[in-house]
Amino acid sequence: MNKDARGFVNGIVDYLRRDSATSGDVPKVRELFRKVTTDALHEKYAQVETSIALTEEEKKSLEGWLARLAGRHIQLVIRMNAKLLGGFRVTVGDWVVDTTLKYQLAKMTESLLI
Amino acid sequence: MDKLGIEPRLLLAQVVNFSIIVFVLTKLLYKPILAMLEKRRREIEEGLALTAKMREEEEKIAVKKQKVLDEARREGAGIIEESKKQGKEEEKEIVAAAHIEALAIVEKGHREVTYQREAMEKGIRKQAVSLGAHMAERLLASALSAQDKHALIQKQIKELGRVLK
Repeated sequence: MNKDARGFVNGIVDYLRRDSATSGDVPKVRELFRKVTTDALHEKYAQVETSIALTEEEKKSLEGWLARLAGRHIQLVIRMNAKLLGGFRVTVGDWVVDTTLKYQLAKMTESLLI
Repeated sequence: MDKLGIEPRLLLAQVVNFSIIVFVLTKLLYKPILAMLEKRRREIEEGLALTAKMREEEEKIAVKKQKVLDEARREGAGIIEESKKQGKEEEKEIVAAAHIEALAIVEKGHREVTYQREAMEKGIRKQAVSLGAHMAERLLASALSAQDKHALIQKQIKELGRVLK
């Protein structure tokens, strides 16, 4: 990849990172938590899509986070999807947390078209 | 009488002859001629009276004709004046309507141009954004290393955990 392309990619990644962490509380994610349904909290499995295979440590962190959210253990069903580019998407019942670069790019495109 | 050479009997005879002639002429000639003359005079008088009457009628007709003509001229002039006035008013109305229509056409044209320009800008913007997103997607797919992706995932899990606290 040439220098210009690398610069472009770095710019996009910076933008996406900055956008997802503009404030320390990650308001977009916090907003998603409010939408966690009762049904979702009673699910036994969480569908996780990632662009790269998760390490054991990452799996444990994600399971721990979900356990704290639901108040009990939820088993992860992990699936690889390279098209997501980066990040992960967690689906528990009808509740979804999408932190993928694919999703953020789509949101960015949508905001630019408004 | 003799001195004068006048014969009394002859004179008497002549007087008698003259009287007879006068009587005959009066009866046979003078009266018919007079009657004829009288008749002719009456005819002439009647003719003159008729002529005078006709002339009078003719004058009356001429006056009436003139009056009718004057009236017709006045009415004609009035109609022409009214037509001119009406024509001018209609002209003004037509010009005003044409002006309004022209303004509407210009306005519509402006709106159309604005709409087309905005649609074109929107289309170009959409294409540019889509192209940029597509390029970004392609470049991110090839440029992000596994290490970058893991770093991103760990950072995101960390942030999610912080939100739950």
